[in-house]
Amino acid sequence: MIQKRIIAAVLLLVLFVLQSSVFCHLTINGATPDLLISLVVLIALFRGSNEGMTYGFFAGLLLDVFFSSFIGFNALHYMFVGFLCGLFKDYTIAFDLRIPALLIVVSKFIVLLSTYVFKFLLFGRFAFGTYFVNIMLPEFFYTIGMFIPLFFLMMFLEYKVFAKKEDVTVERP
Amino acid sequence: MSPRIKQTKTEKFLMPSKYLLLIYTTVSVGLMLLTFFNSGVEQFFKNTIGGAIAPFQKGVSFAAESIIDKATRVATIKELREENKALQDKIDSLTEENTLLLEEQFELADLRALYELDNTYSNYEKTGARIIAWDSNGFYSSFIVDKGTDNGILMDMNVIAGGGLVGRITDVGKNWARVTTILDDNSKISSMVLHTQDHMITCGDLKLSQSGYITYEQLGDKDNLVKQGDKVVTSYVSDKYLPGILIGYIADIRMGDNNLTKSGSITPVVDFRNLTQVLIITQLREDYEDLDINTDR
Repeated sequence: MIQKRIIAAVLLLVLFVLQSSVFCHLTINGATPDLLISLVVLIALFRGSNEGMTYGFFAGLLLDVFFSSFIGFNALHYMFVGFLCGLFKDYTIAFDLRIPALLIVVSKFIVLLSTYVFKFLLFGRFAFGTYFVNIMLPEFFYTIGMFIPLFFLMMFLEYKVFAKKEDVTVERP
Repeated sequence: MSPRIKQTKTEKFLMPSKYLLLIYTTVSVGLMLLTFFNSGVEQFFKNTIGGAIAPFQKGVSFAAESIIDKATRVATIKELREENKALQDKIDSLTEENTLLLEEQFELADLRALYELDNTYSNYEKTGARIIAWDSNGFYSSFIVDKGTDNGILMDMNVIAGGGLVGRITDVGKNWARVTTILDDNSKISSMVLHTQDHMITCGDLKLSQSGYITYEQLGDKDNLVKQGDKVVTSYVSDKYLPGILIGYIADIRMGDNNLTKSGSITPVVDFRNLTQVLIITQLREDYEDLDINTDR
C-alpha cells in the first residue's frame, strides 16, 4: 500500500517537472499539456475519492507555488476534480477508455473555464472568444492527447505491477 | 465481457470522503486567504516546496533543451542559410547606418553631458539567469529562472534579454524566481516614445500575446509626431521599471476612444518564443532614485 502511494507521489513530481520544463519546449500553439490533471483523474478513478483528493490537492499546490499569485487556487480545483472523479471508481472497467476520457474532458473544461472566470472575467477581461480559441482549445486537445499514454501507463501499474502484490482480484463476470 | 475490479479487503481505517473533502477545502480556502493577506506564508511555501523542486527543473530543462536542440539542428540548417544571406545584406546596410550614427554619437555625448543623463541601462549591473520552466497557460505570461535570493535576486528587479525588456521578478525563492513578462495580461508599464518623450501606458493583452504583440494606450501625441517603428522605452515615471529600457517598436497607431489620446500595438524587441536565457538587472528602481537625488546635489 505504501509502495503504491510512493510511486504515485514520485509520478506526480516527475509529471510536474516534465510539464513545466520539458513540454515548454514542445508547445503546440503555445500550449502545454496538463499532465497533472490527467494523473489526478486516473488516480481518483482507480483508487477512489480519498486518494484522488489528496493527490489533487498536492498537484494543485505544486502549480500554485510556482505559477500562481496566491496559493490554494489550483489546489482547490484539482482537489475537487479528484473528489468528483473518485465517485466513478466503481464504474471503472479495465482497458476501457470511455469513462476516463469523458471525465478528463469534463474536468479539464471546467478547470479552464473557472480559470478564465477568476483570472480574467473578474478583472474585466471579456475576450472569451480569444481565450477559448487560442488558449483553451490547444491546451484542451493537447491534454486529451497526452492523457491516452498516461492512461495505459496507469493501467499497467495498477493491474500488472500492483495486482500481483495485493488483494486486487480481476473477476470475469 | 470486460473484467471488473473488486477490492476484497478494505483498509483498516478509511476516512469518509466528505470529511476529507471538507478538510482540504478549508485548507485551500484558508491558504488562499492567508497568502492574500500575508506574504510570509507564501514565502514559506516558495522556499520549501519550490526550493526542493527547482534543482530538478533546472537539470531536466537543460537536458531537454540540448536534446531538442540536437534533434532540430539538421532541420534548421537550410533555414539558417537563408537567414545568413538576409543577415549579410542587413550587415551592409547597418555598417552604412553605423557610420552615420557615429557622427551623431558625438553630438549625443555633448547633449548628455549637458543633461547629466549618463546612466543608460547598459551601465546597470546585471546577472545572467537560465529559464528552467514556463507557465503552462500558453501565453508566455511568466517563467521560472534558476537564480533566487541566494544569488542576490530581489522582488521587482527588472529582467531584460537581447537588449529589450522581458519583465520583472514577481516571486523569489531561495534558488529560483518567477518573472512576469510584459505579455502578461495584468502587466502595465509607464513608458514613453523615445524621440518625442510622449508618455503612455504599455499593457499586455491576452488577445495579442499569442502573436507576440503588446498594446499601449493614453499616448498624448498632440502634434502627430509619433509614427510606426518609433522606439518605446520605459519612462522615468514608472515606480517598478528603471528608465530608458527599450520595450519595442510601435506597430500601429489608432485614435483612442476619447479622441484625445492614442492607442495601438507594440512589437516587443524580445522574442519570447525562443527565450532561454535572460539578464536580471540587480539595481532596483528605488535605489536608482536615490542615486539621482545624490547626483543632483
